[in-house]
Amino acid sequence: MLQQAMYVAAAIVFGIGLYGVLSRRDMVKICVSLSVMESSLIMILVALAYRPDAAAPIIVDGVATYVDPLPHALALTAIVIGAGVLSVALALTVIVHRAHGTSNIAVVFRRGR
Amino acid sequence: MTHILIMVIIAPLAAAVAGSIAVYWSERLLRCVVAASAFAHAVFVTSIIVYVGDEGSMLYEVGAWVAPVGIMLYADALSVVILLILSAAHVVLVLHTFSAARASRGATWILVELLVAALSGIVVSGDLFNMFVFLELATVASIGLVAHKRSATGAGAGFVYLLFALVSGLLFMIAVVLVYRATGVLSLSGIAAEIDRAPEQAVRVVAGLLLGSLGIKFGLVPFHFWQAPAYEAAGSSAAALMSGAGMKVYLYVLIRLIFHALRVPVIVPRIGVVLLALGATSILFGHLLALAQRDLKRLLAFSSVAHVGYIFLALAAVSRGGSIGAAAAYGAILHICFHALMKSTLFYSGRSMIVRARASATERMRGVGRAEPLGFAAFMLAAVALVGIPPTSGFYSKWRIALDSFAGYGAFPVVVIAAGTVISMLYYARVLHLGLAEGERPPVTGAERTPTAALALVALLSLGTFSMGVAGPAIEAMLTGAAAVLADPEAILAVTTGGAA
Repeated sequence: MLQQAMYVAAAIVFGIGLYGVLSRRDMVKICVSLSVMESSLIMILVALAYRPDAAAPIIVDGVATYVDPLPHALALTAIVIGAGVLSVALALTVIVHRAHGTSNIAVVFRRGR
Repeated sequence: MTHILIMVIIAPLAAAVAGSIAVYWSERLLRCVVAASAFAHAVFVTSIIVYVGDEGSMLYEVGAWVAPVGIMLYADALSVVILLILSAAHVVLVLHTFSAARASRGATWILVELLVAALSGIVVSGDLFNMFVFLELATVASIGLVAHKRSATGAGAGFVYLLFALVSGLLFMIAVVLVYRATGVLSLSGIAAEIDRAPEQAVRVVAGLLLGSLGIKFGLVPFHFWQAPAYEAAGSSAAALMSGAGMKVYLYVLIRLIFHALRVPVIVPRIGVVLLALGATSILFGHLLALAQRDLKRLLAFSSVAHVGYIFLALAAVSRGGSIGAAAAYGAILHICFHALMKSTLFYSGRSMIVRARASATERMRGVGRAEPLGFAAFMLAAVALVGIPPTSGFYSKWRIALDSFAGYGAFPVVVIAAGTVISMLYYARVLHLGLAEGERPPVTGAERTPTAALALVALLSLGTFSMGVAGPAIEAMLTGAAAVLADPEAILAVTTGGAA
């Protein structure tokens, strides 16, 4: 039940991010929307690892069920990669803004021609 | 001995790290590092080829951690061919840049080494998650190569590429999550063993996600928008590496996952029609868009889009299985190899024309054939091979693909291939016409001349595209091995039960 709710929430968050990417022309706003989209993925990973009444995946005496540690590892890696790629995107935004005085991606391409 | 498998990642990665320190010392030290890396990479790849030739496959457990917990690196006859393409592209890039570029390249070299490390990592990865990590690493390095000229258009093109790459990464990650949910494992061989128990619906969704994700990576229509601005902004040498080797690595990922790990053709036979439709669309749109371009590098980018289509036609026939599939696999491997060679030649020889004309717009190419005859001749020879005029290598592989897809799907793919050939002949003919036209020749100051050594290399490559069609039998054994692996839906499955344990 909780897991299903997480999936629905992740889908909503993904939709918000996708709407932002498709509807905005400002590069900073696109970057924000992209990281919103990525967070939905991490929500799915966390939900995937969930087991009812399970403990954190550290072996302790007397605990029978643990949550699945593998999706956690995936989530950590995805967060790190997301942060790296986002910083590159923002760096590119800075270069474009310095050259054109705007961060509107459409204007950049009209002038580029 | 199997330690070599991880060395193909470590060598260029170490060069990237060492290079980023050496760049503060001197350009010469950096060049030494890069040359050493290219040489070491080539040596490691060669010894992997020899090992795989003897043993059939190569398995390496990182840190001696065994299968379910540990990370597995794996190479077989198919991966070896892709590694060979990658290593050859690396060596040619180093040789060409050393002989042609006078200006300091600095950070570009670090990005190139990083890209080679990431691409090698993708090829030898034995599990889905490492593939994902290396795919993202390759993306970051490619963005750097696209945007490194620091022009605003470069940054814009880099940003668009990054947008597409991020979406591609998201789709791949969702596919990874779904596969993990359906099978409970991430190693490719484990997935191959468990996938039968997964619901058919899940396999279908994952296959769709992977086609979308990797379609963005190699610029399949309708995901091709980023490619032309990116190749236009990137240097010719970087574009040659990305189109010549990078694209092939992404194709390899698609083949490995769709055909071997998920065994989609066995579970969902309709995938063949999907691949056929995607391939045919890419061929027609790619060639038509190339015809509409007024820039040499954009033209080459769209021609790459079309040539992914040819490989997709062959893969569609492979998914039919049986003797048709086995024959078509050979055509697919041939075209992957030949396209890598032909497209690299086109980018390198195109560079000498762009340098001479001081612009990449095709209009500015007027008279460049008279001013830069050797580079221009190399370009036209490679173009003739890419169009597929006998007896060039391009003709040989296209002919194979036409025959095999005819056997699998009737006349439709053959008509598409023929139409594509005619259109591509048109746009290369226009370049030929412009190049040979009388034009005002600006005085040569020296910066516009490509050094003879670089031109000799380009000419050698160009002769390669020409004679590969004749010399095909020499490399045939290796390619047949790769084709046999490609056509075998249980290629990976056999490995687990055999050696991994």
